[in-house]
Amino acid sequence: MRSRLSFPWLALRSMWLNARFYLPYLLSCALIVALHYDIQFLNMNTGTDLLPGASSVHGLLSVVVLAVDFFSIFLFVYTNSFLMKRRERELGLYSILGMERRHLRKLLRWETLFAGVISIGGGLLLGIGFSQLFVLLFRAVMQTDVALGFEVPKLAILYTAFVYGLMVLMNLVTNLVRVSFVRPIVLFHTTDVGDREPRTRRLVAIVGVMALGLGYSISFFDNPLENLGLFLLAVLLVIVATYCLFSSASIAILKRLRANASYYYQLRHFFPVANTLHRMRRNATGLATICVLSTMALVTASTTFGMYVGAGVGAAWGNTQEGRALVSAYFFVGLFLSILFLMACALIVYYKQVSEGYEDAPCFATMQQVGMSDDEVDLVVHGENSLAFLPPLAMAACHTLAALPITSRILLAFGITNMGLVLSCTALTLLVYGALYLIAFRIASRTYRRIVAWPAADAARRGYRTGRAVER
Amino acid sequence: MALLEVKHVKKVYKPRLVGVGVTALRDVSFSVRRGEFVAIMGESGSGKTTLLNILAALDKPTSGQVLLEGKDLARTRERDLAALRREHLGFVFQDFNLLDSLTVRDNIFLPLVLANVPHDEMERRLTPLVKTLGIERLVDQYPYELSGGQKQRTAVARALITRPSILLADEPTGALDSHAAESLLRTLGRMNARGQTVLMVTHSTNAASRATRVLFLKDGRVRKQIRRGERDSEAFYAAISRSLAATIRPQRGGATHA
Repeated sequence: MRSRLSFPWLALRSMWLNARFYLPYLLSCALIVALHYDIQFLNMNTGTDLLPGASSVHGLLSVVVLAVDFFSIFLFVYTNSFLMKRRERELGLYSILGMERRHLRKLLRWETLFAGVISIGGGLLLGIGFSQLFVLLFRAVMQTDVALGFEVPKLAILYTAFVYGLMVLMNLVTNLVRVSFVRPIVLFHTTDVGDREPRTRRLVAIVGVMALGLGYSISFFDNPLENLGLFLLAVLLVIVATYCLFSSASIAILKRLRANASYYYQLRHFFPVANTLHRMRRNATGLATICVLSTMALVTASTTFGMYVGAGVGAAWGNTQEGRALVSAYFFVGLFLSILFLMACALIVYYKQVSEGYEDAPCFATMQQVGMSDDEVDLVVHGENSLAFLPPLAMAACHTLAALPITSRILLAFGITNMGLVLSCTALTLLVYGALYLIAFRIASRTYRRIVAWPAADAARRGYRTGRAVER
Repeated sequence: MALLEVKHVKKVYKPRLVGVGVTALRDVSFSVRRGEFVAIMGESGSGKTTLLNILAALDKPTSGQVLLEGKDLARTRERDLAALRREHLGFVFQDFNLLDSLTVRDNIFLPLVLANVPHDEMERRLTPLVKTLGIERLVDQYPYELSGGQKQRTAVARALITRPSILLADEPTGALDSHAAESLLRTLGRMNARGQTVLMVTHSTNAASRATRVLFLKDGRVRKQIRRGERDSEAFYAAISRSLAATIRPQRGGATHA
């Protein structure tokens, strides 16, 4: 009787105690559920069928739903693995206190159930609330008299709940396997063993450069409306190149920086370069993902922006109601997708900073012990974060510029011939995105700063510096 | 003038909201002269670590004064304290506290990087130091490739490379096997013989027997101190053991502490 009562209670309690990690997880999951529902809602809304060019809109929305699903899988896996890594110590402690594996599994099942109910249920409620707003926005953007009614398509709810239920289940299975196969003592002593210094991988770098060159060059002659396959190949090549370059060239560059003594042995470079290099092998994927997501957001936003403005400026078909509706739909969906990519990107940046903050905290404690002031901590934190987050943004901007020929050819097909306009739309998109990215980066940096270092006296009192409890 | 003067230091930890504070240090006074090797002994809970944190300017005393080269630590601004730590104090910890992402060389350079010392000067200081400590072949390795003893030598090198007025060691042999501990204590003795002032907090009688003076801390007070004088390590060890029995251990039949 007691155990039946206490497991859900224990699960809720441990979620509450881990709110710092659980809250962003639940929030981001709920947000993506809400977005998924809303796009489904639009796709299934009876009003959408009455729109001019309804089939194109449906086709677009179906593609967007697939994209959302794809990123949801990525998000759920990424955030879950982060969450579990932070929880390992606690689970290890439970098992040392006498919980058997089946108890841990039971605890995890309850936690996952609660997390699933909160994120899916909360997300659906949020999505239903948003959908009203969407209807208003969609009608404003489409400039049509066709009414998109406020309705709650059951199928949209069922589909969304099914997709995310599957993802929650997938995470649950992963976590259960994780506790089942790892010995408790390992769970408890999960403090990271030092990564080895990463080796420069020349072959990967060469593959990366070649893929990038090939992908970029396709952009200069392919017309995606005639040859979609080649376009997709270019996208794939650039993605592969990004991952290759972040996992090889970054290491080579950092090693070069480290070899330059007069650069390296300066406070603002010393720890940032060493630490970034040290964890580059693990980080390359995360940074490359940030870069790819940013590129997708930038290309989507700049293209749709160009289309919207161009159509307004005077493409011939921009004057027909159907043409306007279609271009507005594209714009709306493009905007939506960009926001989605940006959100995924901001989330990764945040998670990366939080998890690294906890890893780096002992290092900063040591540096403060040997005489680093609070201002110098700021300097080092800033140096380290710039080193990690500016390259993905720079590379994303580079990809976006390289994609200009191909995107301008798409716009040409829509009758937009004004290259100056396309260029300024792209520039404006870059500026806005850069600003948003830097805001996300600032927020993440501040979180990291809070985690890594307390004021000296405060830290001493907590016994943090000596790595054990202060004698009282 | 004494290098370090501790005058009537009291430290009370107050709970954040309500309740009775915990007194870690009641009234601690002692001084350390240049070139001394002082060991502070005490059981867990005697206030050793609190005292060390106060000496390291990582924590402030509730009342009393700590003077380092005549300068009152409590009156020094936070910003200057960081500079004071890196210029006058060297730290060696029980669990080494090396940075995993830095090589041995860069770990040792860390305080110099903080102090903006030019790179060629860093190298000039490094060479003789690593030779003395027997880690010259390890400078390009990472901490995770080293044994405990080698890690602690690296930590000693990091503490000494700034040529600190005083080396503060917090249970430096606590995580070492007896062989590595012995070797580290010999090294500290050798550094002291060359004029390095050392202040070590320990509960190991063996470690304390290498010092020139031992203070016994109990319940937040210095209960007794003995000097080595002309005794060798073994005789001093025996003297420390006797003093420990007399001061630290509860008296037979005496009142027990609550």
